[in-house]
Amino acid sequence: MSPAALELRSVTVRYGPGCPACADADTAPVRCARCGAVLGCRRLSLDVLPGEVLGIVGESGSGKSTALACANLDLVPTAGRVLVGGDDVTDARGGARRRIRSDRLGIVYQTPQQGLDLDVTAGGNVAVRLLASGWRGFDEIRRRVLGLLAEVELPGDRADTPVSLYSGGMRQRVQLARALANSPAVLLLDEPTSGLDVSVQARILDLVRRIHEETRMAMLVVSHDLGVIRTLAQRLLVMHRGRVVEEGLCDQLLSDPQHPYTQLLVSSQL
Amino acid sequence: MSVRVSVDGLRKGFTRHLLDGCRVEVLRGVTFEVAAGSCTVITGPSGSGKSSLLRCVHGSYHCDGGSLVLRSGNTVLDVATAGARELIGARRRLMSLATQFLEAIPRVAAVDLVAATGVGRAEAAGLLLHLGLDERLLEAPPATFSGGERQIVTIARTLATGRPLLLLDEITASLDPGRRERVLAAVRERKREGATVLAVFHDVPRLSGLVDEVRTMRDGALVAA
Repeated sequence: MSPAALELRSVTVRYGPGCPACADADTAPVRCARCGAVLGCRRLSLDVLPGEVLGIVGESGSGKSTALACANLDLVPTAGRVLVGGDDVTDARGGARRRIRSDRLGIVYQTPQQGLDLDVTAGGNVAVRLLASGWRGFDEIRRRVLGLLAEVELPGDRADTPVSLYSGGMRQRVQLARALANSPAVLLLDEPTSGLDVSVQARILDLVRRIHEETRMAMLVVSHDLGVIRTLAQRLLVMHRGRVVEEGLCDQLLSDPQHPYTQLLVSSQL
Repeated sequence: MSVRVSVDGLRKGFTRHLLDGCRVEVLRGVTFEVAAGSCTVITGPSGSGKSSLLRCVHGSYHCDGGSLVLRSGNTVLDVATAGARELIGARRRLMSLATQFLEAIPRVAAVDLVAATGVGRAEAAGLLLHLGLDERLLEAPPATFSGGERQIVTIARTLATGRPLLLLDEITASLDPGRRERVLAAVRERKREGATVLAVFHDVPRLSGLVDEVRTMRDGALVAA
């Protein structure tokens, strides 16, 4: 069997110094009363096989974005390992880490400001990603950029418009084009439709689904919106206070939730 | 390729944590068999556990006990204990569930929803028209369809997969008599091609060559008809 496109092995993230009182991730409170450290996630394990879409749901502060940040090498876990395509990349730093993020991972952040330079054109934002991977020929880069913008249904004649003049939905499309630039093995989506109106949300989800059907790219989707997860994911993890409290098939978890927190989450859906 | 379904001592209940952990038992040791290439209809009053049984077979509900074995060629899978990836694989190869409610993807046209199962657009359109969908609706997303029109899209999607086990939950509940006959005839055609059918109906369909066995459920158990 081919290795998982992405794997987190018993990952714990502690924000803050930590002290003997909160050293044990299994028993420590989310916020340590003695040193103030906060446990983002504790002993989190997950894997995404090539072609799979795994969803993570949970309320704000449950640890889902922390998990994604570890997967994107934005955060170095306090404990545990991160593997991309079977390679342990936990300790990658500097240029090696940049290359992994640029060549093997793509990410769409919740807010475009995190993933884009709003003062730069859409084409420029996408081209930066290609340049980071060693692309140099102007014509070649231009062709690839226009192709990517077309793929995310953005008109080519807007390629030279600064992203600050784009709508929220268009900015998410630029993020998607940038994330796809180097055909990554894993696409990470952090609340990709949060803050968008429902019609724009539906179009973005439709686009992500189409990209998955065409590329069979492994995807990890984090959202608090069960509708988003139901539309995109096959398997699902439910996180609560930094832990995975339930996991399984997406439709199984949403139609027959077992854990009290999952039942609360499903029953709270509008 | 056909699928044999063997259900043995199947138990299923729901623990309602939001209601102080109240426990509701819906399947109490259900045992029966559906022979490969045959059609079994489960009938019984509302709340007797018919749909829960179907969802257990599909793996949409957890099973609490007993076994639920699917056999097809060299494949033997106990759905009651299978992991998520095994179930995804089994669904892709072996079975398809049609419920009363269509969970449509926003913005996707009816014909594309059916074509997404792997058939061509022309074949998808032909199937939808054959089952009685108005031609003008083919290119429209089903979000604004009536209950009956949505049901036709659901059934078309299930039939189009070509999978050898069809799980059908009240699939004609919203249809007029004409479309009901067409749908049942299409299911009978799939059965003739070798598909195994496990279906829930309130009223047992009277269509010759379709139903081989009728089982009646009451309070989570099969009873003598």
